[in-house]
Amino acid sequence: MTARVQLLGSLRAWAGADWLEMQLPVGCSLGELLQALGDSWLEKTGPPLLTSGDALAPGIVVSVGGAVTRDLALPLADGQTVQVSKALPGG
Amino acid sequence: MHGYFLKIAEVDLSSRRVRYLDLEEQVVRKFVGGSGVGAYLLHRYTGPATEPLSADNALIFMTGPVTGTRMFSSNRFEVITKSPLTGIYAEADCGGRWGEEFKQCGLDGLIVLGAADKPSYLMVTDGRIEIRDAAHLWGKDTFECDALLKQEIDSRARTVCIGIAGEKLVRFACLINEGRHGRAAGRAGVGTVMGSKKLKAIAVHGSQEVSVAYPAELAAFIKRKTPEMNHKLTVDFEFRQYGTSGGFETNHAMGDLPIKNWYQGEWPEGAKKLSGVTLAQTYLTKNYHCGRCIIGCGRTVAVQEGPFAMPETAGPEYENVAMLGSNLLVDDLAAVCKANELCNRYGLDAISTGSAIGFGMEAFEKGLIGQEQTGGLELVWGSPQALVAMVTKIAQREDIGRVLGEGLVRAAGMIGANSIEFAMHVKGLDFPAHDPRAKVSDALGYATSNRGACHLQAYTHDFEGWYAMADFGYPETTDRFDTSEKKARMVMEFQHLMSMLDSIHVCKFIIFGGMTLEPIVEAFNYVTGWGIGKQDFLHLGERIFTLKRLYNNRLGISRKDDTLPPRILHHPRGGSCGDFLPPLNRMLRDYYRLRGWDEFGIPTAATLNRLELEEYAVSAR
Repeated sequence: MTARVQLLGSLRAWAGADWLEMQLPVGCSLGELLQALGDSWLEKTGPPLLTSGDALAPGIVVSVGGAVTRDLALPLADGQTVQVSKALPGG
Repeated sequence: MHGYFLKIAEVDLSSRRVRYLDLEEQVVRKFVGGSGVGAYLLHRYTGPATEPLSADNALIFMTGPVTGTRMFSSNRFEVITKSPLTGIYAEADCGGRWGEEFKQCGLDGLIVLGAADKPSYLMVTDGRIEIRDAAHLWGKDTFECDALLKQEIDSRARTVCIGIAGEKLVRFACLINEGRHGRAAGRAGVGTVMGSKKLKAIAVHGSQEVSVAYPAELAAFIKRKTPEMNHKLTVDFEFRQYGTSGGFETNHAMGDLPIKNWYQGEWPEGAKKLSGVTLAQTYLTKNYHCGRCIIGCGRTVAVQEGPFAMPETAGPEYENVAMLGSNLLVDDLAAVCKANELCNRYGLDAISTGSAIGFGMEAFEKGLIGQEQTGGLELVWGSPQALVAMVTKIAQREDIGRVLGEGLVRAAGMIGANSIEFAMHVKGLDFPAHDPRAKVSDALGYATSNRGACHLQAYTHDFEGWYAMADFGYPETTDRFDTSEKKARMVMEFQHLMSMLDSIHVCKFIIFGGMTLEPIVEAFNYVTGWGIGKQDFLHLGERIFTLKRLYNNRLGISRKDDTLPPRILHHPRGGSCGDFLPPLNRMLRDYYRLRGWDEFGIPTAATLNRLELEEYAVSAR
């Protein structure tokens, strides 16, 4: 299946692209998508997306279909849009 | 006493008298320093009858026990007064480098009373304070004033000064320190009070060392924590690379960003154009570090050409980009940088300035004001020209700028119709750039903040959705839409912690570098030698927060004032926030109960007894 990943802010700068199309196994979860994304694009140059304990890394914010979620077990549908960004404390 | 000189100066500008007062040990044991001791002093020097812009008001500058030590990000100070914008308690925290230099004059604080009969400035050195003539500085912007004073006194002197906004008594004028580096004690009109006293600047140059109880242990602690701080602040959070607006698009995705005076839910292309990443790729020239800071979130920018060209100077942080940019649908980052530069030069609080312009644009759109009031200006959403022109009009009190410079509540009173409905404030202080519909803790945090709408008195919103603090009892980030009693407790507990950070005086961003509750208390104990635990530390924070509340209670502030604008309570934001609206009444009931306040929002006798604040008791009537 295919997922469309939109990268915002500094993640876009790291990856050099706004949008990525990712080929994933059918029934892939959000956590698996982030693992694959980190392995293929971001881990080499950018900040980690997941902790060693398989939770979202500090500051990583993900939304699936427009809804912000931290549920890494969330199953993704074919053609799903996933937005990934990195928060920074404001003030 | 370690961490303190136990000395405060009192300057009466009316009589030109300077006195040095002992700061009693029992006072600092009870209220710590910074905003805590400042609130204690404000209780003593002012009250319900004090008119904020009269000579009767007190303008108080306070450092904390860690100011002037090697502690991370500890070069800070607090300005405390009765606000001319809100009429209630005001405090404004500031970084830069003035705080440490001031403390090295052998002082913990300075109380300015009275009013000078002509423009003046203070020169503070070791054991000496002079009231000097400032005729040559009056009318100068803050950058010019800083440069002239350094030339006149010593290039190593540090200054805080007001710009023309403070001179002209715009009600949200601020103080600027570090000149063109533009570090502001921004909120609630502390610069207006300084202007009302005809006090243009305070220059400081000191050489005394602050005593530390365990200097070797503090040095070892700093050495041990520095690598972790560096990693977290540059890898986990890209503060150094992108500054506080680096998360601009993330805030947009979470629905946290103000858009079109808090009416619109989404604006993705605009958010991208204004983000800290875009700033780094365009106008950023270098970082700025406040004293003792290894973070360097400050931006220095220059716009080389075009209608908004500007020399290298302080760049906008997140709040300023949001309030001067997305809040007005202005997506021209050069214009936002220019407007920010003008706010710094004029000495205007950029948050309130953006808020006032947004209010003006909505009034213009609704036909409540027209070009006859704006001096011919098309005050329309998205106009970078209108943004930059309005900053000057507010500072100079020209045309509609004279009305908007009175603050939202007074401006709504002058414009009339239903304009108060879209005045985005709490207790008269404009909303900062975080939306309580996106992160519900801000609903309670803004409603109960002692200076009016403020994101920093609780500073919970970053712990709703992406950050946690295990040693403070929050091992996981919290659900941003959870409105249970747990959320009320979280706001309360964070208010206690933040009250302490504003009193010992460190930058709140060190939390994100791993300086969470336990290491902060550890460092505090190395400085002071007090040897207190986490609970004692937080108990002090609760006392300080409550003391400020009691000041406001004395002025008549109660449950009726702990509220939010109708737009936040009744107009769903949409986007990733959907139809969510904060159930403020229920959350306030939980909050009051947890705090030991009565139904009117006034601390009960038992609460005052527990906090040893009986002498500040206020009747519910």
